[in-house]
Amino acid sequence: MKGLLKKDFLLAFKSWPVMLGILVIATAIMAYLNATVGLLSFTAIFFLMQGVASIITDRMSGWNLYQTTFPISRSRAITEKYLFSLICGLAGFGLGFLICLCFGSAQEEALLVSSLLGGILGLSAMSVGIPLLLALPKNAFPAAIFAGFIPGAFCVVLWNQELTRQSALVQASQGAIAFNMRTDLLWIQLACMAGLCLVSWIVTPMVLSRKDQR
Amino acid sequence: MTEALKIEHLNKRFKHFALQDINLDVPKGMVVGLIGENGSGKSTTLRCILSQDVLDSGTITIYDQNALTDPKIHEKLGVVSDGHCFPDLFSAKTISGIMKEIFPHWEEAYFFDFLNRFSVPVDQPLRQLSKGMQAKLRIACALAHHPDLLLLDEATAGLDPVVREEILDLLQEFMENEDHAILMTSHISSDLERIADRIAYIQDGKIDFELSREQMDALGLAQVANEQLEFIDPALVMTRRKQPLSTEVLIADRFEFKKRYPDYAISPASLDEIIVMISKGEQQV
Repeated sequence: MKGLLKKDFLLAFKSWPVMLGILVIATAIMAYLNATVGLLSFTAIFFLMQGVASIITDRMSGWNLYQTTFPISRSRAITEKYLFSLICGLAGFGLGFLICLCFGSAQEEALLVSSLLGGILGLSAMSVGIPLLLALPKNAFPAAIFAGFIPGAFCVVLWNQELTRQSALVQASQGAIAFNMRTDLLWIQLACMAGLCLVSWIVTPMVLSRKDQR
Repeated sequence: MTEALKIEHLNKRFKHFALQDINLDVPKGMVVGLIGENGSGKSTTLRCILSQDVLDSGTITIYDQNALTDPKIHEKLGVVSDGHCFPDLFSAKTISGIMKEIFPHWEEAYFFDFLNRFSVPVDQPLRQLSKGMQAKLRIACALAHHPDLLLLDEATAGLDPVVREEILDLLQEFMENEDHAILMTSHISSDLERIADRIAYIQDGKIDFELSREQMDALGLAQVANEQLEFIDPALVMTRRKQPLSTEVLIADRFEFKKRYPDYAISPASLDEIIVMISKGEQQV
């Protein structure tokens, strides 16, 4: 697995100018909107998706077939994608946190919300996106990427609905009730996404290694 | 154990195609060519050996170890295909750095010596290399971890004759070790004629026939007038094909034929002619 990880990291580093450019543009936009705390979730998801999207590179370059000639089982090669994506996501999270600190976006609750949203969407992309990108035909890659975010997006919609409800309650109470960002709900959703990711991490290698390699 | 690769009763069904009861041996010290028309199952057979396609039934052993359950056996395998297999941003140097983490016996010195010998740049990304250079790089990757068995799937396809000749020389060097073996698929029959010790012909997912080097060398193609046909011993005739003015006859032993019928013209049958005659002829082997 060490060789596969090395290959994925080297490939990710090769595209650092593009990644840096996107990061700079995103930072500029967030700074302009005075929403730099959003960079925390953005960078976590952005970096994690480099891991998920490496599957696309593998399949387009023929590497996914070539790696079956290695003394590495197919299930192990699939497991490596989860590990790589997770490492990338954590690196993105760390970088996003540093950028937020630099901008002084240190409101604790905002940082927490941004982190949790990043975790929910990132883990969603990992748990659904990786198996779909491995299993579906190449022309379905865009659909697979979007589909990966569906569970996470569903969580965010639920949370958003809860905030709307909260907002209505606060208005109705005329300030008697304090607005609550419902981070407890986000924590539960994060746990659900983590559980989904764990199931995907265990089941996908078992199932896909018994199917014809695409 | 004399087989480097042994395929027994391999069956694999797809929607519109099936490999049916494939049995194929590649003994140590031999080069076996697997030939057939487009879509006959050559590449699919190789995909099954590599577990890229999951078998419905059958066994595949490499040097007596189950190839389907033990990926470690791939340390003995070197695989070359005609397709891309590396991200084109990578250079040969980068690839070596990756491969040495994957193969325990990867020898960097051999890899770079090989590339140097064939003037393949090591620092340029793959997208800047010519097709011939990329082919040599793929072969270098297959050889640098010192495999015992090479699987070549159209490894020389699309290459010019000079490069193909260089690659065939390499393969003959590889075969100087009697424990080594090669299974190669190719449409370029001249490559197989040069290097293969045995040919297996696959058609519609089934192995139709196999011929050893000795059998191939003995085969001859005679053009005879239709009225001359009845005088030829049927035991010598493998198959025949009617043409507008004559009949082409594939003779099993051209030396015997020449002795018995000195007035009849016969020439050594090329691999292409053998394949056409056996697959399209009236009498099958």
